[in-house]
Amino acid sequence: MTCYSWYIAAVPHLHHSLTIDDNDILFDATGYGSFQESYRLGLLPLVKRLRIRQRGYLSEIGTGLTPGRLCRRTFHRLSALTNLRELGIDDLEVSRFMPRIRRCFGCFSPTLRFLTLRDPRGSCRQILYFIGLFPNLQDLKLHYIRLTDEQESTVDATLVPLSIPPLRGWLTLTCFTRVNLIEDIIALFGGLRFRHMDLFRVKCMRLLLDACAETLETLRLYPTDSYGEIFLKKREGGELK
Amino acid sequence: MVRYFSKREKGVNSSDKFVANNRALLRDFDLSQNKSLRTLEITGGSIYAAEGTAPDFLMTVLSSVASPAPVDVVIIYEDFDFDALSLDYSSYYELSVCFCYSSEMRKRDPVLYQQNLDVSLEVYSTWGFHLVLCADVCESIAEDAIQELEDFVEAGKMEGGLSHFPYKPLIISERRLLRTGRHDYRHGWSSKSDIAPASAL
Repeated sequence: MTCYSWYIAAVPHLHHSLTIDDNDILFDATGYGSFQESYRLGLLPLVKRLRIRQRGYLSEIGTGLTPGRLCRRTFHRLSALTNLRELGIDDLEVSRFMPRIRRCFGCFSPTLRFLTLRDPRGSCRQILYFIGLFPNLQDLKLHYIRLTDEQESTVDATLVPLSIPPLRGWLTLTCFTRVNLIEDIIALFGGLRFRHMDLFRVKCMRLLLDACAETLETLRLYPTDSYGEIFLKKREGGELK
Repeated sequence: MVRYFSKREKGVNSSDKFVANNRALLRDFDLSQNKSLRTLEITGGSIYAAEGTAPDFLMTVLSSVASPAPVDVVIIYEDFDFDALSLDYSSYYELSVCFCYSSEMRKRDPVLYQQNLDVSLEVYSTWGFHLVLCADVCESIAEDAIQELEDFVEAGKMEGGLSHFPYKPLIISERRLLRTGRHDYRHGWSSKSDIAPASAL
């Protein structure tokens, strides 16, 4: 009886976070892996935090997360995550999920508060559409590995997000050069209202600070920011202007 | 993250001279329009990764702060700021940004310790803002981390660098579960790509 009580008390904490990677996805066809086990035992509703990570075979061949990598059974199991509050996805190829991306991830709409995308691929409007799937989203993290300029597609210019999330929590951007995305968020979400920002190597720093002028309470900066590095070189050269 | 908001007035700083010199920097980091700003956070790792330019960088940014309310400066020290002792000494220099505050490291490499202490004192003593030192580490080393920071502040007082600093830095800790990722020290920040929670990705 004591053990059972301890189990009941501990089980929500034990299953609070779940990380699955491409190995889980690949093994899904054969029914192995922690994700499948959690589903089989009915534990997925306890999961509040999910990260879909790329680190195995798919990472080696440089392929992102595409619909082709997720079998129908995986989609069905994702819908069992009925209380998910935080979602992190590596290398999501948003463009490959269009136009049915809502069918894949829309199940998280009612509960999701925190979205992290690491190296998402797709046009600004497609990523914005994906963000707009979650009407209760408060925190957003876009993490790029390196500074890159992506080509935009004019075909997606008419793509409009399905909702306007509040986005009043943390905005975290790393190696971020997609100014168009921020401009689109401001235009289509009616401005930015983040209260906290963590910015490292962000091309549109000025735009973000101005857009959140009325709401920003906490700002995390890095003296090693790219602008800091420029600052460093200038300082060494003695030509501060 | 524990947020600390001070209610006291912002101290007088001598940052005006930096404004004129660093207009290029302020073009992107100008905080004069952010009237509701309460906290400016910087990681300890990035201060040391900046190789001595951190004080000027931060002074320049802080000089633009025009918030009517007091602003706290929070320096966040993460696990790798404290765990150099667990590393093989021969590999320490490969992770040279992993500054360690311990007295043990002081014995091992007094020159490096003194260099880091000097940078810290310059940062601390030039800011006219209320300083908060935050140990954002896993729970198992939180107490030790706090003690290390307290010892470090005491060492700063002994050196005289903190003697004229009007307010004693507040030391806090943010306890959380074990972190498994340790990455990219070169830039003074952790990419945290191996951390399970999405919030820490």
